[in-house]
Amino acid sequence: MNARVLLLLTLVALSVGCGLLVVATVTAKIRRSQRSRTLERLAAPQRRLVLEVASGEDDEDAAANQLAALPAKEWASIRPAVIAMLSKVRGAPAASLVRVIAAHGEVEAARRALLGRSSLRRARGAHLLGLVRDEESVPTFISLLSDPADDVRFVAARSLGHIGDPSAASAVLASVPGDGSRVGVPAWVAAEALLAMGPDIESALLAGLLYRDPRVRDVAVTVTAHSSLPSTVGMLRSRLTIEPEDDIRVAMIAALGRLGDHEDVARMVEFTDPGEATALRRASVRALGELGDPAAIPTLRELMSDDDRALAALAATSLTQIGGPAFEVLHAARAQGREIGRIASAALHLASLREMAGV
Amino acid sequence: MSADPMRVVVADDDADIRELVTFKLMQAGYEIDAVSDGSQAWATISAAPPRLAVLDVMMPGLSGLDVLRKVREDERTKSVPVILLTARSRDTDVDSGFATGATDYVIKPFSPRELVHRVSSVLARGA
Repeated sequence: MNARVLLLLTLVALSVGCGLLVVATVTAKIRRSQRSRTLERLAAPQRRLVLEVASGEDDEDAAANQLAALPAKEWASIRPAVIAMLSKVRGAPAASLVRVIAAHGEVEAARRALLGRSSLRRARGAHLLGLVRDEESVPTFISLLSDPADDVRFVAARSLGHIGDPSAASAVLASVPGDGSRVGVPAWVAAEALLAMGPDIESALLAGLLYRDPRVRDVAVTVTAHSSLPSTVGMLRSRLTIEPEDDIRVAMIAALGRLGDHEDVARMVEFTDPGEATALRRASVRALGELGDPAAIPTLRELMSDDDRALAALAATSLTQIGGPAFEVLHAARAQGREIGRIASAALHLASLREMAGV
Repeated sequence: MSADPMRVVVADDDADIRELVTFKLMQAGYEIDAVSDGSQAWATISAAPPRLAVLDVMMPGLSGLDVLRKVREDERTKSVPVILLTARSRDTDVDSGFATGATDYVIKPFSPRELVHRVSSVLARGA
């Protein structure tokens, strides 16, 4: 067999292989499409029942009872729609959907799955139990925050947020750093879960602000900033001066801008000192604007001439947030012309645009 | 401006929520125009101002707040009551909504019954 014949045979073999691949791909697509149509056909008659239950129009529980009594094959077709709807409604309709899901043995199966070997099954079980807000599973979820599989830990944290049990707050915070071999629960997942737990997580947040690991302190500050819990403000004030991480101090300053009062103006003014890190100075200037206290006007007026032009512009914007006498300062600065006049003019113009837009 | 007596525009990119809100409001006797994004919402509202609009805040393209801003800026639509559906319960979203001119808001996950109550009470106030 010479080289030419060999090349020809190779080309033929490759062509046949490609042809088979195309046929296999098309066949798979057709099968998938047929399966999808079959599921849709099976689910269509039940869709209205799901809407009746989810919308609270099922006063006699007739639709919920019909869904609960569906044979396994029909339940499999409508199950995704029921689960999807469950995450979008609350109150009595959500409770009815949970009853339907439980009637098909899904809750028990999910609880068993939490203890199974397969990490995929554990994660799926945790997801479903979070959606149905299964309070019985809270202790298991807390132990799953140390699960060897990343996905399981993340889903467990999110599910604890869905359930909203504040007793799990400390465990969620402690899961953020991870350990040597496992990555921690992402900060945003932990923060979202904690925010969903309501005001009774105050003591956990206070402990979180004192945590050794900066990632935990960061989450605690973020959640504190959005929770408006009065006792955490005192802790933020006391920790701000000793917090070693600039990023966290920036978050603390932003939180005090939202939650603080007149008492915080002097503290913020100190952080605008030219010797402080740029990020801290800028955060403090923003916070002074958020606080809206006229006591900050002299400092902000001075900062409009700062060498850091971004900080100078922020100072002018903060003056517009304070309003009243701060506008007189801005108008006077605009009349001066030069760089400070340009900055004041831009801030006044932006403020008028915001007012026109009603924001 | 002469709006149809019970016509409500519903805009949400989540098909389940769109269908659910439409179903619930239709059961309550409203006539619904349901759309899946902010551009369609503004096109529908500006073409024929409805009695009320229910807008999701987070939509692709024009957000619910963008649509609300357009509604308030246009002479023909500025008096249309708007209820915002928001997935986030943070104060800032609610504040931005009210500052932009929202009439009311409902936080997701939501109670469809509560939504109908809000719609009917907003319309009753404006009647």
